[in-house]
Amino acid sequence: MSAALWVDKHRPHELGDATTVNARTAKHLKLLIARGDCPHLFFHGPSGAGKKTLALAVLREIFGAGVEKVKLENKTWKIDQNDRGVEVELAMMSSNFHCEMNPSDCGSKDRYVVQEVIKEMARSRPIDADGIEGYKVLVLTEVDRLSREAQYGLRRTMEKYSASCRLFLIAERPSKVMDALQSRCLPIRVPGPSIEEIENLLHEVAKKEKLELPPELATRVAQASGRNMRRALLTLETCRVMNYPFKPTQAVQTTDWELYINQIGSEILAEQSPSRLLQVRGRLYELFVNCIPPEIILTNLAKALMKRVDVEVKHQICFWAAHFEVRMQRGGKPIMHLEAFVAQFMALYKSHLVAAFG
Amino acid sequence: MDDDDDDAFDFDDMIDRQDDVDVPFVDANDEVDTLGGIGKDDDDFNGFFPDDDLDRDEGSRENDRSAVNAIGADPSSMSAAKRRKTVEESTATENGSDRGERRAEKRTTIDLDAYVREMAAETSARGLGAMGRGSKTKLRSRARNEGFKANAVDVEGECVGVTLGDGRRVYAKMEPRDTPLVPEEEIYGRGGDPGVSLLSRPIEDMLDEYEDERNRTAREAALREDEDADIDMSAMGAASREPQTAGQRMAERLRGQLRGALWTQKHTPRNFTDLLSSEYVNREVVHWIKGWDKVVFGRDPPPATMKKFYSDRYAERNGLKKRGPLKSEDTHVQLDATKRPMEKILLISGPPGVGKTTLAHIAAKHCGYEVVEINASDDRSASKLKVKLADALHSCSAFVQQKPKCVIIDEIDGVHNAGGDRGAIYAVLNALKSQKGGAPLSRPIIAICNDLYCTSLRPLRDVAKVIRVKPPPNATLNGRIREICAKENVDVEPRAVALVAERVNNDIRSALHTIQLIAKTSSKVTLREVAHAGAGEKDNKPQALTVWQDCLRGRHTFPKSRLESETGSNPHMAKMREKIEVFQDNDAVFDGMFENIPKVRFQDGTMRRMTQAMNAVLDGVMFQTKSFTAGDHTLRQYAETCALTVHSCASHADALGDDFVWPKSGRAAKERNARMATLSARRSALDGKIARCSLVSDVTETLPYLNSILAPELRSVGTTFMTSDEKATLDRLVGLIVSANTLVLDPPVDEFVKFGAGVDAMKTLDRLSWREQRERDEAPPTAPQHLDLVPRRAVNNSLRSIIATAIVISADRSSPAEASAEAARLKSERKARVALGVAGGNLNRARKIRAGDDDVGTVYKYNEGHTTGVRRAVLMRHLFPELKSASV
Repeated sequence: MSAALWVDKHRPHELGDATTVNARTAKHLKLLIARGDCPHLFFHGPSGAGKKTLALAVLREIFGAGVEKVKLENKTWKIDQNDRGVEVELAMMSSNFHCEMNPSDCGSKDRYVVQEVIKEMARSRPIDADGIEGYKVLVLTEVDRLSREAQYGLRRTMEKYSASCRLFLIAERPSKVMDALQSRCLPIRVPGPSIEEIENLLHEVAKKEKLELPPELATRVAQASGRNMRRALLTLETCRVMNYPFKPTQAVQTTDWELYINQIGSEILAEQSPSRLLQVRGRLYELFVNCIPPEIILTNLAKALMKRVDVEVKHQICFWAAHFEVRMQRGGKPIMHLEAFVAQFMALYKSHLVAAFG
Repeated sequence: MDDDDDDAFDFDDMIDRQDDVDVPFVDANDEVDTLGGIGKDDDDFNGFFPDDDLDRDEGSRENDRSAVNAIGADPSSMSAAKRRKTVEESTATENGSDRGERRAEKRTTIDLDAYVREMAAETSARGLGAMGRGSKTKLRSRARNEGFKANAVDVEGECVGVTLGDGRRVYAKMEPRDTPLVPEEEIYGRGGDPGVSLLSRPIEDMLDEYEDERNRTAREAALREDEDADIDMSAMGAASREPQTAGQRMAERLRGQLRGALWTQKHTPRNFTDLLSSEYVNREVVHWIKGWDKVVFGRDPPPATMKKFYSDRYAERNGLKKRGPLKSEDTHVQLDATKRPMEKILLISGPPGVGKTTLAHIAAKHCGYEVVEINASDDRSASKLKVKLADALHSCSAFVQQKPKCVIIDEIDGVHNAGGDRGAIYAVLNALKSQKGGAPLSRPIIAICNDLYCTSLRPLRDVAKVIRVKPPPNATLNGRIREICAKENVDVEPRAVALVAERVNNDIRSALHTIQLIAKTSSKVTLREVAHAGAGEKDNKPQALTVWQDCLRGRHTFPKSRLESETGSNPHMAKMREKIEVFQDNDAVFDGMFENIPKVRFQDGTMRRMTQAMNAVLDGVMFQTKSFTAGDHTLRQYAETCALTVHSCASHADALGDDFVWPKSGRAAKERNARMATLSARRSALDGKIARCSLVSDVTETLPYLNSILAPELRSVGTTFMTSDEKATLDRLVGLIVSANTLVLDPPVDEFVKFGAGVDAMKTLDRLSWREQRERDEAPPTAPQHLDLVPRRAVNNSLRSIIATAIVISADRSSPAEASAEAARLKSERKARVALGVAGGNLNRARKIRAGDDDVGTVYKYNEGHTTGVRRAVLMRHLFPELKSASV
């Protein structure tokens, strides 16, 4: 039973398979590890660009098909911290050769993961059948969400155990990973694929699935995906489930939370008042509680607002959105920053309207 | 002296006092009190009210009346000491001593004395609150016949206003007395621990008296025996002045101790009528304690005469029918089946220094209990407390006739309550409950706290009778302080007293401490002295709600104080800052302010002020975070400044009042974390590749599409009636679910991708906002307001049942005889089970039928959901592979 989501089904497993998207990067990587060794790698790029796919393909290139035999474990680590024990629970997927984990899942305890867990794993060195000491690879995802302390901790580990362990760091935003970490790695930028690339990819997948994909629909799906391969493929699959044979004009589904944010945007544009702010607050809470990350809410909200305002207001929206996003990182409850952004926009839009129309 | 007292009667004070006059003495208890008060001597009277022409002026009766009324109401203006004395006698009588009787006889000054005795006797028979109707009528008739007059004009000379038990206001004539009722030193010499003394006279005086008596008898005996002997009587007299005997020395020592005692201790109220807390509160406490009378003393609690009086008066005024005569079960406190008050514990709350502890002690003693106090100085861990309570409540001495005990747990909000159910509060709660097999609680327990809303008190609050004690009104407080100062011979400016009282938020304890301190250093306590001493300023930790409310309203937050209006300064911001500093929890301040800022009416059209305020809050939060992460707590002062900025933004706004809402952000974060945990738990339950995406991309990208992918359009028919296309779709779907990419459908995916219905968990949060609550309750129920988003198909129940069946079939189909495939089969079956669990109750409908087969004991017949198209027998072991080995 090989039924799987197309995203997973058509994921390239080897560097050589990556022909449609990221082909060039894949080639470079293949050359890099041709001699069987590689430095620490730092994959960065937007969501759905293929960072992790590349990282796993590199692993396969190094260790062979054995890396695909993974098992998932939920491990609990007990760490003695001066006077009290700290328990850290972390899910990790590991094969004989590598281990994948997302330390930022532990929230504020992530530094214990870095200080203890990773050190522990990095210390032991696998020995292959010939008695040659190899190395293992730790794949750390969402490094940009690691706390500052954890990143500091990681810095030392990377140097100290580099003989027995390689780290593959994966992050969306390199700016949130401290320079000291970046300089210890070979950074590999994985850009979001262009619309054409995504279109090609969609056609390729359709061919493999033996479907007729009208080029217009492919273009529309690609455009709706926002240069995100995962989204593009999921959208295509949804279209397939909703309606087949494809029609060039058929609806391309977007996500509810995006529609919801757009709705909030038009509500804000329709009325600027404290009571409206309270209403928007309720909506923001809903988004927030449903696990939509506040940064994404802010970005999308700013975009939604910018669609229908004058140019000078657009500049200000950009400014304030950036302002509040930065502050969101600095501290405080994210929901406060979102709301303050809305209030700020309301105030400036109102005064803009007053200035423009009197 | 006279000058000072003239000062005391500046206009403000007079107004205050007039306000006070409106509170009549309405209880029968108070009749005793007030009548007693009449018996004060003129000298003393004049001491406090210097020859006011008003009082003596025969011509202006009306003025006369108001002035005397004021006297009646204000302890400052009448000699409280005298008053205390008188009522104490009634108390003493009640306690079975006849001394009160004896003393009352000494007083022959006014014609009302006889009544007092009578009343006292009556009270002693029925308890203080038990002024029966009989006595009232008696009083009324006497009032008509003798000293009482319905009009002040009818009274010759001075008079005093008295409210009778039936609510009538009458005026009694006052007559001057030559000798003071009680010797001065007896008043001043009183002291010691109020918790111990139940004597109407100090022990040292009695010791003196006893020694004198002994001396006298000894002397008389000596004289009688040896009349011829040459006894130097004068030497004898001189010797008696020296403390010779042990008793005299002891009395001297006690008195010496008192000389240096704190005023608060020295002048603490010693009986019921001295209490500063409001009459109503005092009475409530006593009524509650009396509610235990049946269990403790075996007598009925006093009937609810006051309740009846009020309801009768109401009926009379509104032309309604009066209720019938009181029955014995009509008591003030509602009793339960076991004749105990419904609420088994009394919880007295109020700010420090309003006299909660004193009230509890005096009320308990007054009702005839021995007080057992457990306060913060004792070890109050749960186990210790349990033992102490048991000791106090269940044990009594076999030899000594003891009074029943009443436990007072002081400062209960400070008890150590760690350990949840095993905490100290629970020890108290358990004591309230009747233990299995043991006797039910049969003694009153009084708990005292400052912060009623302290989290640890929550369980107690639900079962306790809560009484809130407020600080006494300014005039009462100032009067009492001045009275004490006068007793201590300290010259004090009335305005200084007022300032001190204001500074300490009407906390009489600190006020007295402050004045005593100043009096030590200077002979006269003046306003200037107090203002410059800076003493007595107290940090009161305010509650979160008040801080938010004060921050988000205009400048009328703090009215100008007495001192400021004299000096012309108004350090408003400094006060606000101090309030925030004292509150300490800046994060809570910011959370609450932020939550409520949109509701503040900032009075600006462009929302500028509101934005400013919000930004200020965020700045403050930033400083706060920084101070925390950097460990640099000096940064907190900047955060406080930010809070002040918010306050200045709101400088023209009105108070929010009822609209205040508790901050929700914490709750929202909690809810979000819970959802995150669900999601990641779901992820870690998988062993497929989907777990390799980040949680964020799961939520924002995968799940919304997955929801649609998992919900293809399928007719709700059995598989046999499906078209080949439909079959293919179903196969694919089943494949998706059963394959390595299985997403456990519990909780359903669509819960995470739907928007517009609001968050249920957040809706319950507005409990603080009563107005909203009320509106919501009154509004007709409406359907939740959904946004006009694109309607989505979700995995509905019928689809689920189809999927579930298909999974079972496919599992069955893929179970070939080959042993090699067995493992795979089991695996897929297990998954089918998971999916079936989601299929919503279909399994419940499985009917148990008897099977003829001997190998399998029981066969469960599984009927597919909505159609009879497919009916196949599914063996239990197909569904539960683990059972296979153990199958019967």
